[in-house]
Amino acid sequence: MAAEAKLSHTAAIILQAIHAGSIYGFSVMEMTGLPSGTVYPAMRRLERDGLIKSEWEKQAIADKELRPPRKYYKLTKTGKATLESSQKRYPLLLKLIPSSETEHV
Amino acid sequence: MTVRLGTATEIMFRMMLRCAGLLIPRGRRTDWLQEWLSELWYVRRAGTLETPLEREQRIALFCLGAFRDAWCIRHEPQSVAKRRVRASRSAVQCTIALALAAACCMSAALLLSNVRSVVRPSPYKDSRYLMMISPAGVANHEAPLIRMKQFRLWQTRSQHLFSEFGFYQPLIKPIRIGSRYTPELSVARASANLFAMLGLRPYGAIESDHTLPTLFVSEDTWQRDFHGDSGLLGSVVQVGLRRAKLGGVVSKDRWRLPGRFDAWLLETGYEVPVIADDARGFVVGHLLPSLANRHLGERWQMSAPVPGGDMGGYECVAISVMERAPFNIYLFTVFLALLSLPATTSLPLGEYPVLGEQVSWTIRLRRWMFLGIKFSLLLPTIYFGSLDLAHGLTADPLTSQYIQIITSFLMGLFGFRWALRDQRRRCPVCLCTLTNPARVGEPSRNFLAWNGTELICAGGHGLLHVPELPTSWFATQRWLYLDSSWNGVFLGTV
Repeated sequence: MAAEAKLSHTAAIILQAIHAGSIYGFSVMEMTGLPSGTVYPAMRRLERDGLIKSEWEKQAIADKELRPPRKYYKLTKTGKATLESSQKRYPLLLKLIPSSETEHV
Repeated sequence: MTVRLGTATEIMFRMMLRCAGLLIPRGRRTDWLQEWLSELWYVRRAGTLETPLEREQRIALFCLGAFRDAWCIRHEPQSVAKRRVRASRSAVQCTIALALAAACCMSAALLLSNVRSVVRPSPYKDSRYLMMISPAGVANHEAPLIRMKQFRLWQTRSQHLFSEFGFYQPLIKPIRIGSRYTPELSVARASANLFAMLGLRPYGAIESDHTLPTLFVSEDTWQRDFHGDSGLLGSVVQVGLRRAKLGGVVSKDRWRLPGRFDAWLLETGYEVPVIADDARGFVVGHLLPSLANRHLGERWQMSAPVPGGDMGGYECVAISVMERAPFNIYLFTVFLALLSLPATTSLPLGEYPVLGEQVSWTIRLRRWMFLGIKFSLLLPTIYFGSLDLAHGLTADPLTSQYIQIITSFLMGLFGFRWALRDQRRRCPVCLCTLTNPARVGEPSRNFLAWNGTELICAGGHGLLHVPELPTSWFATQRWLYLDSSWNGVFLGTV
């Protein structure tokens, strides 16, 4: 619960963006409009606190599409609980970034 | 032109990311760089409606963010704590200390001339076929025991085993150079063929004119009593009452036969007529390198005629065996130390639960590798350390052997004991030494509840429980892994 209390507005936006389907760093930047120097360090902190977890895309999939593999992020159970309490704390969060119903990788 | 500009800027942006990557701790750098380089690829392909200049500006801003990200990772509070914990008790520090000890012992062995002569390869051309001959059943090969008349008898007989014999007799004589005398020196009076048999080539050697015996001196004597004056080479000196020509200088670690000498007086003839029949000395024989003799090996006994007409028993030991003696002593004492090890400490390293998901096989392998490195660094430390003590403290070969046996055994026993005990007191994940020992339970309730010592990993990986008294249900120490929910408790969570 201590982690929920400490979540800043920026961290909550990033968490919401990941939940909404922006599952890699650049897409979070695009969705939130935040610079890379803010997004990536915030995502590291969220991952360190166990709110999100990362996973590398399989090389074979990336090779098939002739592009480098991406590092995908997704919310953990704790992250989802924290996001729910953050949505109550910051009511405009859902209006800024509406949640997606579809689950990504 | 645009393509060329794009390639140049791409190289520049990649360089920027690599520069930022230098701020990241080495263990995380590869993953971090891979993510940023991957993202850069996608950033370059986004934003198709902007001008090339705007596009490059956007990418540059993106890359500048990498520096901030790297800076944040570098200054994470947990990284600082981790460094502080690891610097004091880390496996790396332990390995460096052991490597330094091994390097110091090895350097000392190379600096001490007595030890260097043991460590270096044989200076003799055919040491496997050069046999020291001594009466059978004599343990001390360092004493001169063969009489000159025995040597003369062997010389006159036809030989099937040996091609030639060399003889030398230890003497104590002063040497007169011009009008001054040296102190009394230990001189080996030898047959003329001795150095040629051994393949020993003194430096500054001059040709013998076969009228006077030739005197060779050791390097120490040359510097101390002859002041390193090369003008004296070839001059006539007096050894006791006999005149001799100064022939050259024998390097420090070239003489490896029994006896320690300051000078060698090589007589003019092979028969050595000036040496009395009853004089005792050492005999070296050169074994014929035939197929029939090869099966004899490096140590064997033979019967040979003695001057009275009877047969006597003799033991022949190859010089190569004598040169290998220190290494054989080392192997034997290390083996003995390994046999004695269970009497001083328990061999099991404890029980570690198998948690495939939590502890990867690389971490488990690293733990065993660390133990292997400790043992592999201890072995040269024991070898060179025992040689330094044995041959650095005394010049007497027999005393040196005894000192080497004792020091090598003790260093081996306590070294291996330390390696095992140290391994048991380390965290299996980060390999740091465990801290904060706490007594748990009461000795009076030993059979009712657990009683022992609990140690903790400062990195938060787990707890070690060491029983005070081994029981059937808690025979050895046990490791308890802590999951990530405990991380908040520890400063230095790795």
